[in-house]
Amino acid sequence: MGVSLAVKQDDSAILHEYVHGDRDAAITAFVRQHQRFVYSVALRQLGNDHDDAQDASQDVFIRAVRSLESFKGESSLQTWLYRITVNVCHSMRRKDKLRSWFVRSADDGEPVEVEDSAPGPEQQLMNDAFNERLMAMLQELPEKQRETFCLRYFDELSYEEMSRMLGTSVGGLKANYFHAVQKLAGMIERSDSDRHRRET
Amino acid sequence: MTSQKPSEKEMRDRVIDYVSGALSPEQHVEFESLLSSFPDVEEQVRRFRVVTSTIDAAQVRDQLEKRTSDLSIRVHESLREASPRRITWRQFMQWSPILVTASVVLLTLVPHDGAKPDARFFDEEMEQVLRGGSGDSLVIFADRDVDFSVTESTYESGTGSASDLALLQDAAEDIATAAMPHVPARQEYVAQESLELLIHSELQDAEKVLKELEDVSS
Repeated sequence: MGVSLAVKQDDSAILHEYVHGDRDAAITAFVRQHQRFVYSVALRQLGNDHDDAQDASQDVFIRAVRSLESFKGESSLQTWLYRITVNVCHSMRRKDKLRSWFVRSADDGEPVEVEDSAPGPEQQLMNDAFNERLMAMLQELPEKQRETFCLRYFDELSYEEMSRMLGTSVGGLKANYFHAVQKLAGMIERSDSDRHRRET
Repeated sequence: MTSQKPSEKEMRDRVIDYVSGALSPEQHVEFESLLSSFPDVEEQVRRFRVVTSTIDAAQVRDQLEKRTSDLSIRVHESLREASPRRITWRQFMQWSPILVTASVVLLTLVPHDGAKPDARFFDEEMEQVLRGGSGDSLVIFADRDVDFSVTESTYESGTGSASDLALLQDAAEDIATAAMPHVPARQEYVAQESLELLIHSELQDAEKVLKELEDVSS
């Protein structure tokens, strides 16, 4: 994996286009380039809730676009977006907590009406066995190991880039990644073994 | 990698780079040729391969990409709205229990010896709170009627839009009327206070507000 520049080439082109060229085209390129990353971070931060992660991703990009012109380039756009995403998700979680507290208080002991959280047909299709199994395994990992593993394995970030995002040393991140992989391997092997036993 | 046979620790240190594809082609070949001499390291590599052969990162990335395929369209739509409304009516209704609870809390705090609100609630500190610390002219007091004036920069800084505030103001008034149908003189005041609380909850530290209200309730 190559060394990550503070501002990647594509980011520079997007920023230049946004300031000096076609803003709409720049916004589209900006969102498309980072949408998967922002969504996946939001998904992990919000406990794999697809709808909330989509809302959060939209909010992140709206905030980011409004501040894009003042982006200083002191970090990569991806690092900047990571921070915004974590903040937006943190804010969403706090509001949910606050709202649930008030709903509980207002009901004064009455059963709290909980919105049906069952996945819709579209989401059900996406939640195939592989995804469910993978998500369950990832949830078993400690948060730091999970985040490090996902950023490295799925988002293909360099350790240096992750270090800037998470404020953890490269050595610490490598250790997190190592332990995450070792644990996941153990889970996969146990799961395969259980399935084999059931089949026989 | 050195020409001498590396130590087990050196081999262990290279496992992650090896599995991540971070070694040069030469280092990669050399690492593989030495693996059989280090059974523990070989076992670690085997476990890494269990993960890489089971979890198809490309497939996961593809699924995530599909889930976000319309995101740029939705972002454009949101940005194009003439007067962006960050709080939908449905979202507001989810917040309405806060206003109702706040109204009840405020009723317990407000002295009942007259219709006129206690002046202590309208001091400079309150005004400062209502300004949201943004430095913009968020709220202008005139004869104790709240007149909302939200600047573009206030909205851009994420502290709300004029349409949001107008919506909340109307709703706060409705809720205050419903909460105290027989005390019209209190309605304006409670609506004002409820609105402040809501804005404060939205824009400031929601957790702090929660704590304050928990304290008041207890």
